Amino acid sequence: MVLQLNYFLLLAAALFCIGIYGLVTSRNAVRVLMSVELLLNAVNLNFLAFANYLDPADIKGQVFAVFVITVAAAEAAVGLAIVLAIYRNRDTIDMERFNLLKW
Amino acid sequence: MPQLPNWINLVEKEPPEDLAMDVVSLAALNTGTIVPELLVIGTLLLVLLADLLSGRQASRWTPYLAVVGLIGAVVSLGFQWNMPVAEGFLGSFQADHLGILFRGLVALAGALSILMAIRYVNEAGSALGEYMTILLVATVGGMFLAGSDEMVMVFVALETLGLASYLLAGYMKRDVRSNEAALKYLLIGATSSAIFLYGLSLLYGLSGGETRLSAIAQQLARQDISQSLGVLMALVFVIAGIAFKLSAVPFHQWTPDVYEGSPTPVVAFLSVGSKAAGFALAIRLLVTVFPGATEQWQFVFESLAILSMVLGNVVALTQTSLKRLLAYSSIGQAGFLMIGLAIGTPEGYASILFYAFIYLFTNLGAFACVILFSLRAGTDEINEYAGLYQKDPLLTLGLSLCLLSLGGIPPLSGFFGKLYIFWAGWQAGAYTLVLVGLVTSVISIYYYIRVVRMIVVKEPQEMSLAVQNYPALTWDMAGLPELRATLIACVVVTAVAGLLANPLLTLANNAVTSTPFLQPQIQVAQK
Repeated sequence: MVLQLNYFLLLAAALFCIGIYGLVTSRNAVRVLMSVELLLNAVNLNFLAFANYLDPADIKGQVFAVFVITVAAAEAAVGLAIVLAIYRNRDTIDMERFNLLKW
Repeated sequence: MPQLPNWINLVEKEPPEDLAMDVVSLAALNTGTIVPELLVIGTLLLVLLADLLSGRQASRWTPYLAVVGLIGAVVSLGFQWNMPVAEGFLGSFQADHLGILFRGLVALAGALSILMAIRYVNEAGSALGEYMTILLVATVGGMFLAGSDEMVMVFVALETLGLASYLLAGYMKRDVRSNEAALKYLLIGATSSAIFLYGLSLLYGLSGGETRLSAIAQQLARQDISQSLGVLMALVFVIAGIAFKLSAVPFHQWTPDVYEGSPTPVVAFLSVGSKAAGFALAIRLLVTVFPGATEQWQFVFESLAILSMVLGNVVALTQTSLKRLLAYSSIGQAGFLMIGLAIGTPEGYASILFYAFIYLFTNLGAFACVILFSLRAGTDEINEYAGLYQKDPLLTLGLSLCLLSLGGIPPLSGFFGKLYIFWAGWQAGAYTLVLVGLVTSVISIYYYIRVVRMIVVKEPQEMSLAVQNYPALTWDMAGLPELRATLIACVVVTAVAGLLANPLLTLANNAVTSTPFLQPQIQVAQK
């Protein structure tokens, strides 16, 4: 059996949708951050699949994925720092209780 | 050859023209194109080092160092303007004239918001050194974003700007509102950049493995799929990411919260610097990658512009906090700017540049006044401004001029900005856009005037509590002279830039007509 590019893209799309679902439904700020990571990993899968099937010589997609992973790490660091700051002040990381600024 | 799905019909790529390109010499990278950015990076390292080595004493002179570095960057951009258009890093970075002007705007916004932050940050008891370092990082990110022509670079620059902005929004870390603003900004920002990135990954695949924007467009055109479903999906994802940066309705929900909760100097930078970089990205990405789907993205931006103008200006009517009012007004202003993007004529792009320049000084002037008032009276509520003209003439004059200019009252510069953008829209036949723009400008004048009336016309006995207890006007505290200088500079430019409209507009027009990637659009517009 030959793995088709489509399968990878579908997997990535499914992962992306799970990430979006997690973003919308999570109340815990850390869980929201984890959902964002899912989104970025879906993108990485896309890049890797495309790089493997369409761009095997230059593998620009794989290079791109390395950058995405790096930036995702930085984003998680900043995100957790902010969550920590808010936890120190409010003693909670429940998204629904962050309502000082009305939407 | 692995099996490919049937929707990808890969055209065999031409072999690379020059195999010697594998070994890239430093000269071929053309590092000269990023000298302004290197200057800012050098400055930020120096600021960081000085702050580490001599601690609090250094914060007396490091702001000047940072501002000198940013001015140096602007000057070197001026030199770059006169050099032939060059591409650096094998085409990843374009030093074209449009990019140069946008990079200059971002650097100017950075410099001005450092100057107006000194007193504010000191008063809040936070460290100034880190504040400036992060702000300079955001500036570098914005400058790179305005010139990058390659997807990896676009993404990294976007995230540099984004991450630094999230940190700045949460800089008052003991203030719960600042925390909350930062968290909301981070989560919405990270999500939208992930969506943007998903669009980029689709583009990478559809173009058969290209990451340079111009190469992607060529591949899409060669495969004749520039109108296909895949490309349109990528376009939707990309626009969602860009619209977040521009805070276009319906991607604007973060804007009022972040503006209200974040430290005011940060808001000043976000409202101008970050937005200018966003427009530079929008123009370059959409024009370069999606020439085949021009009608579609222009239609989307037309809708976004109408929504932003209507919602931004109407909701601003009901606001009670001046920061929140300026947030909605900035959504409305972004709507006006998007008219230039939606019509896609050279005049449209030139009027974006011109309006962005005027908006920079006007909006920063308004925020400088908000900072000064909150330093003296400790509040941002509009009601508390009542009767201010009897206590603080300079603040009254500055805030009134800036708000009236934002509203587009002649002869202030905001009027000329709007005039050119509407004129360009009318020329291009976008009558709906211009009419909506005109009607919403009238609405916007109402709420700007409401603030001015509150300051000026009140009887002495109707003075608000904050104004009654207004402290004596002193300028001798550290950081206040800088704030005053920024305020006066912004107000002066706001007042007289209308007289200089002609040279400024010529400059913007020259930038647009001499920018290589806009040439196809210009030729289309001339037919």
